[in-house]
Amino acid sequence: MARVKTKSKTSETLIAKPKTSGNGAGGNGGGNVPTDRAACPWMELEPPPVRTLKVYALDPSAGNYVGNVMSVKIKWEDDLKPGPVGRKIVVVDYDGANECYYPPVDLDHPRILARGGLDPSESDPRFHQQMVYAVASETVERFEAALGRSIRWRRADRPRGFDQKTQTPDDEGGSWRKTKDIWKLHLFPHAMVQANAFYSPEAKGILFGYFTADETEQGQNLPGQRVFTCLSHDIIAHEVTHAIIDGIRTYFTEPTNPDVLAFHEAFSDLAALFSHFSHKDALLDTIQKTGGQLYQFELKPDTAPPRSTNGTADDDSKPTLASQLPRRNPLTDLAKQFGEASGMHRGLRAALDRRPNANDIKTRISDVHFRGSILVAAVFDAYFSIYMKRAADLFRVYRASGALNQSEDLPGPLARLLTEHASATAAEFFQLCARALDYCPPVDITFGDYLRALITAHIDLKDMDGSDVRDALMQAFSVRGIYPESAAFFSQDALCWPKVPKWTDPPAEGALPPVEVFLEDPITKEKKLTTLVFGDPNGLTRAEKDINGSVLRQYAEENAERLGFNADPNLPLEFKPYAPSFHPVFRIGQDGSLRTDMVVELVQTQRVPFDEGMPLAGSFPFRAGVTLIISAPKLNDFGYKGKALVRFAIGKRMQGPEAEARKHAQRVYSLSMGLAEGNTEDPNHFQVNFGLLHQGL
Amino acid sequence: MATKKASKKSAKKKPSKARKGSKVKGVLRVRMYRIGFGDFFLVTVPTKAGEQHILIDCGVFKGDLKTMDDCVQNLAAVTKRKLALVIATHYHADHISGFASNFEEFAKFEVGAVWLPNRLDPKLESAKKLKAQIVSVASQLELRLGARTDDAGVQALNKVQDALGVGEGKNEKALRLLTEGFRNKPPVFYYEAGDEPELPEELQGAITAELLGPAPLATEGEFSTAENKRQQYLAAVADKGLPPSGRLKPFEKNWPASAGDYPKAAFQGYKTQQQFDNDLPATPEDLERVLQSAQPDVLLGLADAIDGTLNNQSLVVLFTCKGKKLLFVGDAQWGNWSYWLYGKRATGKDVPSLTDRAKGILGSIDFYKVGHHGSTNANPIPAVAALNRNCVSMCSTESGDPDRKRPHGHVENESEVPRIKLMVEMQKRTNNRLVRSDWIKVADFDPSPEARGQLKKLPNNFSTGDLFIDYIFPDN
Repeated sequence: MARVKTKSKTSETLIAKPKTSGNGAGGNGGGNVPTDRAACPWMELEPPPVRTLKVYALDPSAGNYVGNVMSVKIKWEDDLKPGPVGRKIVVVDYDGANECYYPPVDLDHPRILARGGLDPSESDPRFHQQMVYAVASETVERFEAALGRSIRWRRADRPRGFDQKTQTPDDEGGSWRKTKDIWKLHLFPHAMVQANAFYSPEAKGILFGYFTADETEQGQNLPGQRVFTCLSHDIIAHEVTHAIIDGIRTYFTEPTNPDVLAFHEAFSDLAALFSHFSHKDALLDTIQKTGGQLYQFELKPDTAPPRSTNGTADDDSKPTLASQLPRRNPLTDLAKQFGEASGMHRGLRAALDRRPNANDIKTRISDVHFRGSILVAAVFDAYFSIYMKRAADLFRVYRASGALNQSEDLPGPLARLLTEHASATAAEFFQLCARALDYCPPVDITFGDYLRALITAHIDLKDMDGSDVRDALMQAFSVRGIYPESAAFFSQDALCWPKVPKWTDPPAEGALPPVEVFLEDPITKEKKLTTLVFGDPNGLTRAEKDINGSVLRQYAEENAERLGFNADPNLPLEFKPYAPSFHPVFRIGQDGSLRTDMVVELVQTQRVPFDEGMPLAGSFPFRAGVTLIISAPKLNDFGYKGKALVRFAIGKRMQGPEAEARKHAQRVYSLSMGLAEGNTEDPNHFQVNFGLLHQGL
Repeated sequence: MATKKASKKSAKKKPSKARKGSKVKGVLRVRMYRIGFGDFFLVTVPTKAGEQHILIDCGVFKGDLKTMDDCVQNLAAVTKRKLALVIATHYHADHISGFASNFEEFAKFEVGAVWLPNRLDPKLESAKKLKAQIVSVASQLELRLGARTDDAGVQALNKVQDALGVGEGKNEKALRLLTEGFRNKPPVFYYEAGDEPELPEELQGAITAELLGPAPLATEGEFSTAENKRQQYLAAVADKGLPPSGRLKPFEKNWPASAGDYPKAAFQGYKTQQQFDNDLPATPEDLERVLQSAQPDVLLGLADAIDGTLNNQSLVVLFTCKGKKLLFVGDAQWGNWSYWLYGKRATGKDVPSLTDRAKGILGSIDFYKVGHHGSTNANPIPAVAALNRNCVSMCSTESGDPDRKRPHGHVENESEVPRIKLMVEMQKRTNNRLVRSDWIKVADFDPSPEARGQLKKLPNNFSTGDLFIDYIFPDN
């Protein structure tokens, strides 16, 4: 088999070389014609805005299901190298089991460009590389659009005290880069022979396994055929979402309560499932086969089953053709091929797995995927409810025209209108789910916190519009027994995190001062009042980030008590509050104006022994944290007007009765997870291992 | 055929009650044999008819000092081959191998009754199925792990062999002895927490027993760490076999390539600290190394799952005799403990505290048999912290001194058993009345310097023999 050439081709190669002799080029009418192409900028073609690549909408087992082979458009990367090796994503096809490399795909190869990416193939590793790159990029872009900022991958923990070179053996140039930072996410399409795929911060990427399908209960696979997890759209999106959350929330990988890891799993499932609803062809087909009722578990068969001759459901009425068999709804099933190949007769998980009840949340506490499925079901319950509500008028018109019920084949125009509704509503829900991440506390997340974050994000961004969405979410969470622990009432107002009161003299309870501190100028040694740099959507420079880091650290220390931290000035540096992350966010407000905020995580850590009387028996990290949503000062003709004001401070305190209850809960939960065993001082000791989590162990 | 009673109902019909006011002969004594990394305890109970004996476990696995035969001979001599009660806490070689390796000797014993955890009850279909699945997976793992020479693989092999037994000490053989091998074919009772056990006649009136673990089968999923999921996974592997090992060709055709086909930028995220410091590029080998180490070792995970599942099946017995309370916990881990410590799940929201009952038991016990040879998981910190400060404690273990190569875990990564820091804390808690089996010299094996370092001299009422350490409860 010929190997692809690895030489990178950029847009430059699309430009014909100018002739070096003759008078004039392009009929300019003579004169001195520059022969140097650089002097002819008008000849340059702009790089295309997007790159088109083919992928499976679901996975290979879906075969010719409508829309299963689809093209995705992802941002064009000018300097994409074979692999592909891009700015944020790197694909390295190293097979850990066979200890070999597979040839890297060159997506800039003219023949690949000309056909809009390689055609789907299970037997060509280069397509596998293309698929993981394309779906990972698509997932990242969906998040960036929803969050209003560029996402970054996990950075190594940088507690204070480790910032000084003398104290940080693993620093390079101070705290700027650490060996454990993930600057590019690596994707390994054939990392191992396992029915598993997982995000690994240690490996700085995602390991996709391959395995043989079950010999007897393999679903729509050949018995014993190879199954590649890297060809499942859902699995790729799910794993990349894990990496994205980890980049946004450093401490959501510490299982401080049973909801934390379940949230990680649920959110990753949500991202994968909502992406199904952006596949218009598949959505249209499903709408037609469910009579518009998207939440149904099964699709109507392509061919009507035979009618019973005696009016009973006897053998006469059983399907005789494959096309008469009902199929599971592919939009609500997750990782279909993986589940079927593993003998599950269905996808790995589903959007609405079980009937809503308030008991599930109290059972199988340590089963992360089961618990996560409750949150997924709650969000999808709300989504389907809103979709059905918005589609209600269309159905009324349809029925008014004489249609008996919705299970009949829907007319094409109606199905297309419903598709638009379903797709737009899904996009709206995904955006809300993603944005709500910014309204979560930085530590010890619970499902109840996430409900509050959803409600707050929705109100903050939509104001009072769309209260039906918030209502639907509240009802869906409520019937599943998910209630916020910290809210006094189950109303929209009470669930919305409280806004920070205006700073006054004397300050009101809960008020926070504007974010500005006196920082010493390193050259003049003068102290200058300094505030945050919000920058623009292209990001911040290193110097700007340094300023923001200094401002936030000092602000956290000066306002420790107000922010819920231990304000003891004698605390060692590593136990003082610090800022694991800060992200300027640029969003369009209801009135169409650009809204600039900064989302900041501030965290403080305390080491707590499992038993005060037995200090040698180990300890656990107990963390307090607060997420600040800070509004940028307004800009007028003369510069910035006003100050950077904290709009929301969403957090968990270090001291007080609530903190003591959390501490006790974390202690017992850690013990139940076996986390007292081993070296509890090891920073990785309390980090989840997604590899084992996904393995079922 | 001996009577085998699996029914909880029948067990509950006959609650055992101590008769008051009767004159008893003899002393209450606990004898701990030093056999290596295993449990072998003999409780001698004074009764009206003279001393009666209860044997709790008889096994050794790793760190075998080859003293088992001598210890069984001592047992035979001391008890005159008559045991009122035999308890095998769970199906692990380090607790039952002696019954297999000394099958013929034990076959001469007359036994009043045998107590086993109900997870070994052949009449309980779910328990029987799980046991078969565990044995099946362990057997497959034994073959696969047997070929490995890396330390993690060897440790995992130890765990699966503990679930199966080795050589003459096979667990199935031990179970055969326990259920039908004793001379008089005694009744065998299968219990779980909450059952009221039926004491043999010889012990009635002299002692009472309360069963605290394992958690009832009906509640198991809620009281064990990932028990439900773990069992599901074990069941799946038992059904379909272990995942394929090593190499599996993913593609029919060859796709030759090398690291050189990739741009150097592909590897730069894997710089080591040294490469950072010296501004050197990372190499493909750096990436390959990280990738290999990040892969979950399914075999190790399965070995852990089997080990934890069996430990959690331990029969936990609280004896009361002459006003003294003796707690034997087998190798119970968190799930087993949490059932009676908290009575509720640790949900992370409605978080329970120790129940008054648990506090009452732990705060008043006079003797505590350290769980799982001194591991942290089998001796939960809240339970240790609630121990009666006046209780004495015994830990049958083997530190592996002087080379510090542990039969179980490693000192370097703080996974060692016995856990040094826990032992130190327990010494403090019991006012230096925790005695380890490796504190004494047996045969050619000197006392463990580690054990001697933690306890300088034997506390009151302890004494030693050639093979054992005794504790005789003082009369009040």
